[in-house]
This record gives sequence, structure tokens and C-alpha cells, in this order.
Amino acid sequence: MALYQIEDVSFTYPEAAAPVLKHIHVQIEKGDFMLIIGASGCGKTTLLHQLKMEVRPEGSQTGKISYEGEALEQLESFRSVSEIGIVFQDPEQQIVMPTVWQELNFAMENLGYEREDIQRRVAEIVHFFGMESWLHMPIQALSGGQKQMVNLASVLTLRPKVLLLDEPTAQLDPVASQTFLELIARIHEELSVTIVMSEHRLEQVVSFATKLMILQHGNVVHCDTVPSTLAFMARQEEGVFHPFLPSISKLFFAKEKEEKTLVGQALHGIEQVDNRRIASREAQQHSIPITVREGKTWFVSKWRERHAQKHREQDVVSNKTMLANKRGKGETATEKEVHGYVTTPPVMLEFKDVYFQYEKDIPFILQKASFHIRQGELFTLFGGNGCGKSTLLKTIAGMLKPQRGSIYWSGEALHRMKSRKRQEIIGYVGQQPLLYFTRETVEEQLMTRMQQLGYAGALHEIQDIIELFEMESFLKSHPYDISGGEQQKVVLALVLMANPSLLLLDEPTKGLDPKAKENLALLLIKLRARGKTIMMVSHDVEFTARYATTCALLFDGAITAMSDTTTFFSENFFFTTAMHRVVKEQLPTAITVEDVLAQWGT
Amino acid sequence: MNDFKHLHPIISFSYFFCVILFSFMMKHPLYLLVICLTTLCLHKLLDGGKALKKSVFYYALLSLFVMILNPIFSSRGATILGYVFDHQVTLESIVYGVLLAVALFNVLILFKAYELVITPEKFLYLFGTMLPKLTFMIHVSIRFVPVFQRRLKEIMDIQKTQGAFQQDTTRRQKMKEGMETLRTLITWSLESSLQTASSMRARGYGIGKRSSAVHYVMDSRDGLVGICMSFLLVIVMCGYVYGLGTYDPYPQLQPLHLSALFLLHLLCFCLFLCIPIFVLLKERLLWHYIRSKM
Repeated sequence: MALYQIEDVSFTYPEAAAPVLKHIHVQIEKGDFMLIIGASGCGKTTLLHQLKMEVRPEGSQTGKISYEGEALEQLESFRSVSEIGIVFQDPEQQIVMPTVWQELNFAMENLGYEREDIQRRVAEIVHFFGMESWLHMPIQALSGGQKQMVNLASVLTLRPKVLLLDEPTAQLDPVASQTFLELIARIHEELSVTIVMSEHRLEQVVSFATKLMILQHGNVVHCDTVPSTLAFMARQEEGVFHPFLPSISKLFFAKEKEEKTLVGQALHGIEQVDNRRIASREAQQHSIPITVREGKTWFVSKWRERHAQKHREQDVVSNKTMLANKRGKGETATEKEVHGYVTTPPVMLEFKDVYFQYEKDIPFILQKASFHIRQGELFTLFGGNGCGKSTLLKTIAGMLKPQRGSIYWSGEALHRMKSRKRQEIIGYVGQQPLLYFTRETVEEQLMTRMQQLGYAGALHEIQDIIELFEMESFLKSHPYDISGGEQQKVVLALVLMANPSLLLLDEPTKGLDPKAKENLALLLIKLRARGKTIMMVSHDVEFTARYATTCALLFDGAITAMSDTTTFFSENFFFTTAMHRVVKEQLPTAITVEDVLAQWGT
Repeated sequence: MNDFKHLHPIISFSYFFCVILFSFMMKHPLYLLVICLTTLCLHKLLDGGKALKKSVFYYALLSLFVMILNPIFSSRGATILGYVFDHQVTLESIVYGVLLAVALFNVLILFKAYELVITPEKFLYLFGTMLPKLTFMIHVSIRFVPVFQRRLKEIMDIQKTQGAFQQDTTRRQKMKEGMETLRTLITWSLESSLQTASSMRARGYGIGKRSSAVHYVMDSRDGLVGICMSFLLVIVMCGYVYGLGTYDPYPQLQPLHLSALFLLHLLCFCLFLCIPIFVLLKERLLWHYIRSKM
């Protein structure tokens, strides 16, 4: 008997024209680790919320969901609460009580558990999670990752049979999200709890998952084992599900497609070789590389195969590859020159020996931090958690004042500037888009901003911005009702209406689905073409490797390893893209899938 | 180390309740002095006086204010010292003002010590069984006050970068910007409270009678301290009923009568007040002793 039997379920929100979920038909077996992917707004959250009565939203539902053979609606509420656990996206808003210990008790107190029972379960959970040292801390003293762990622990105290997780790591940094996801994998492995999770970052979880479901516009497009679904994603046309694939699998499929066409051409010639090829590819279907280790094994064997082949054709292979390798290196360098480094653009922002501390008696968070950004660059600053990246951005935006040192904008010291002028030059986009919204609709919000900036308030004047950001479809919506990527667009538009020359972005890719990330990248490219300088703070290695021009690391209060993106990632060992780790011995300057495909070529 | 904090909440709560009551009832200079000294001592032992240091200046200022105010408004008493703007200033009203000021000061610093010992959690444990709904509400608000404070700051920071809160704006503009901030805070908080409610429902809030995990067990030391406290309390209260421990400067200032009975009563009063100090000091001595033995 399946744990969940979802039969022909559709769901429509009140006053909405179209249903969010359309005829969903899925089975979730006991012990499954089901991963749901899809662009934001495709119905992932709605589907998860359908699986637990207590969190089911208002609206009309048709079809039938049964849990262990019983209709979900008929399930006794004590059972429903304790057997089906849910963790939501935002770590902060789910917590009710003021301290960790109280929060862990909360669920059990609600269900009227005996005191001894509560104590035992809390003791167990705390031990399993290793959170002894922060058990009695107030919630506001915890980091986002710790808060999310408290949420998970609180749900687990009821010993659920199934865990529903709604993008639980979207708001966490990579280190915290890795820890969290490994915990989920442990819960799945060791306690055999069924997991249903929606998630964007396939790279980190796909190796734990047993099943993968793709949702698109409220339809289940595909739901099967992981390799089968990955292969399905690759078969679709470019740009639909491709962005969701882990980069290593992306390379694998791209290479396979290339080979397929080659084989297709060869089909007219030698059939014998062809059959063998196809058979080997069938075998590979079952071993799609996802992790770096798998990727490396696959890549090295491919590389050897190709070279052996070349060896048969020509005798001077090693020479040639070396040459090719060198040429590859040379090419990337010249390419960079052609694409905008012919004449060095002027230095726009200069950060000089800046010191900053939050309070008198605590250590400096920025110490002798210096760097500069040239016009039109997309500069990315990396750094561990709490190392002061966001602080640095805030000192530029003027929200914090450094104790020592100066920041110059094209030679002029920012602290001597009138604050109004400073705001005209610098646009700041924080992590939380909701902070910018005060109006009922996006359109009103844009108009208000226009008036505030002193333009005449006619909509056609901002038509340009609306078009640039492709905001037409949600102009009349409430800013809280649109997706995270759309909210970010609106904020970017609001900030850019003041026409700043420097754009500061604090973790712009956090919580965005891969498609929204690509849209953001296109926007940033457009902005750079208009002469804007962009500085962003990020944890997102893959995004940065593809789109940034310069990167640097903030460590121990100072800036280190500042260099162009390719050099930055190819010289790093730990802090680099998954792609580079796979190919670094053969192709030392390739950091993205595109690089590898271009350099591998002939 | 801070062992008074680890006594059963009923014991520590009753201690503070009694002492605060005493400082209202027993307006006798010596008794007030005892309360003042023991409470200061308690502060010193609890956290080295850190919490008190922050606010003691304001407490003193407030008490001083009361001290000056009483002789200005009250002209009761037989011993007239002189006239200020046709208002007679009496010795009795000055003394009464001083007593009142010390009593006020005592209550203020007692509440500060109370805050250190009786955490909201303990308070709710004591009174939660009577009003479970209210208890829960208080808990939730304890959690969300700092959250709102932080959100407000974040919103204002963002608005500053958007050009609000400039020095050169008019008052009307500032009001408008303030309203805008409040509006953002409310919208944001309402939105997030929907999620909080959903997470509460998901974990079974409201489906039945809640139990409580908080439990403080009375141990033998609590019992001992409790017995000592009740014994001393009975003596002090009996003495009070017979007129000991009170002093009224009106209508005419009297010398302090130091009878044997009075001194015995004062001693019991002192012992009662020193209970937390004994508990704390014993712990320190014990530590000292253990270390010297090792």
C-alpha cells in the first residue's frame, strides 16, 4: 500500500481563473525520497500543502488524496499532526517560542504529552542533532541554518512517518544548506522517514533522492527514478528544464548528444561500430554522473577514449593535445581582450584601507580592506558566513560608517558627498525584497517611486523600465503575491529608476530558481551594456563563474585573491565550480560547462 | 554559581514578594536601611552589580526628586524650620520625604534583582496554570518583540538608501516617511504571521488541552530555605502586628526606641533579608573549600 495515493487532484485558489494544480496523479511509497522540482509558481508549494490538512490553503480541490489507504480529510487530527511533519521555507517565521528548548517542547505540549515523555524525546532529538550547546539560547541569537534545524527538530519530536519540506534551504547559505540536507538524508536513511521535498539546488540533493518529479504549470511532466528523470530533462529542448540539471550531468548530456549526431552520421557508413556504441550508451543511461567523483571518472575515461582514437588516426597526439591545450588557454585570454578589455576602463569605486567594527569592544570586522572596481565590471565578493560581506556592502551604500579609511567614487570621497547625491550614484538591493513594498500593486509601487524621485507621474514614462524588466504580466498584482524572482525584478526596477551608476546586490540569487537566475543574468548583462558598474556579494559559485568579470575573497577583514573570474576559479582548489574540479587536470582554464565544451571540441 | 537563581521559583518569588511588601509597610529608618543594604549586596553577588549599574543613577534621581518634593507639598508636622514663599517647611516632612525616597529606591532596586532571578519562564510557570491562554500569548510576544525591532531597523535602513529620512526634509515629509515605514512593517508582519499560524497549526496547536514541559522540583534545600523563611516571616509579621518595625515621623519627630524586643525583631528581619545572601555565599565558600582541598 502506498503511503500517499494522489488521484486526479486539481486545485484552484479562490478568485483565481486557472487552477494551480491540474489532474495530478502520483503515488508516494513508504521510504521514498521524492524530490519535486520546477520553476517558482509551478505549484510545488501548493502540492506539498495539499498533503497535510492543517496547512491546506483556502480554495477548491477536486480529486482524492489518500494517506495509508484512508482519505486524508478523514484522518484523525492527532494522527495527522504527529505522522505528517512539515518544514517551510522561511526559517524565522515558523518559530513560535522564545528559546530553542521551549520550541522543541511546543509540538508535544500541544498534543498533551506527559512531562517525562517530552523530556525523553527532547533529549533524544538534541543528541541526534548535536545541538546541546545552543539548547537554552534565545531564538534571535541563532543563525538561519540553526533556526531551520530547530524547526526540523521540533517536527521530529512527534516522530513523523513522512516529512514534507518546502524549499527548506532556499534562505540558507551553501554551508548551512549542505548541513541541513545531509541531516535530511540521515533521517531518511537511519529512521526510514519518507521525505517529500521541493528544492532548486539539485546538485546537493539529487544523490540522496530516490525519485524525482518535475512540475510545470501545475502538471506532473515526469515522475520516475532519478536517472530516468534526468535523462528526460536532457531530452527536452534547450532552456526548459536544462537550467535545473546539475552542471556535471549537463556536460554529460551535451557530450552524449554530440556523439549521437556523430553516430547518426556514421550510421550510413560502418554499422558494426555503431551498434557497439549504442549498447555502451544504453549502459551509461544508468550511471549519469552527478557528483564530482562520478563526473571525474566519466570524464577521464571519455578523455582517454578520444585520445586513443586520435592515437590511431595520428601519431603525434600528445604533442597536439598540448598544443590544443595551450591554444585553449591563449584563446580565452584573447577573447577576454576582445570583449571589453582593449582599453582599460576607468576605476569607478575605490575602497581604501577601510576599518569597521559594530561596537567598541568587539573585534574589527573589516580591517584594512582595499579594492577597486572599474566601470562596467560585474564584481563579485565571496566570503564565509558572517565574515562581513554584507557589512562591506552597507558601508558603500552609506548605511554604516567605517571607523577609518575612505571609499571613493571616481576620485571623490563618498563620506564628503551630500547624502542625496550619494543616493543618486548608488543603488542598493538588499536580501529581503519585501522591505521595499508599501503599495497594493506593483504598478502603484512604481508610480509612488516616480513621484518620490520627482518625475511627473505618468506610466508611459516608465514603460521603458517595465519592458526592460518584463514586468507587464504582474503589474496589477500585489507585490507579496508574485514569485521571489519577480519580487526581485520589481526591487531592481525601483532601485534603477533613480538611475544609479553603481548597483550593489546582496546575494541576488538566493532563493531563485535556475530559470529566474538566468533571467537575472540577462538583466545584469543588459545593465552592464548601459555602462553600469555592478558589485555583488554572493555564495553562488556557479552563477558567478558564468557571469562575473572579477572576483575576490573577503577573509579576516581584508580582500584577498582579487582577479578575473577565470583565474580566480582555476587557481582555487576548494572554492571553485564543480565543473572545474572535474576537468582541472585536463583543461586547467575551464570553469563552466560552456568552457569545457569549447575547449574540449577538437 | 548563581545559586539563588536555581532555587524553586515559589521560594524566590515569595522572597521578593515579601521584601517588596516590607518596604511599603515598614517605614522605619533602620528597617529601610537593612533592605537597602541587603538588596545592594544581593545585586553584587548576583551579577557583580552590572544590571544595577545601568539604571541606578536614574533610580537615585527619582528618589531625590521625591525627597525634595515631599517637604514642598506637605506642611504637616510640629517642628517648623522656616518659611519658603509663605510655605512652612517642617522637620517632620523632610524626614518623611527621606524615608519615602529610600523606600522608593528600595522597591526599584528590588525589582531589578527580581528581573535577574525570576525569568519570564519562571513567572509563567508560577501563574501559567491559572491562565494558560494568557501565558502562551506572553511567550509568543516575548519572542516577537525583538523580531519586530530588528525588522523596523532593516526597513529604515533600506528606506534611507531609497532617499528617505534626510536631514533637510520638512516635518511633514518626515511624518509621511515614518508612516510609510510603519506600513511596511505591518504588511510584512501580517504576512509572516500567517506563516507562523500555519506552522502552529501544523504542529497541533489548538487541537486539545496543552501540557507543559516546564517543571521545577522542590528539593531538600528548597525545603530547608522555605522552612527558615516561613519561620522568620511569622516572627516578623507578629512583631509588625504589635507595632514593631514601624515609625511615623508625624505629628512630631520621636527618638528611636531601642528595646530588647525591638532589637530581636530587627535581627529576625535582617536574617530574613539575608537568606539569598546566605545561599549565594555558601556556594562561594563551598567552591573555595573544594578548590583548596584539591
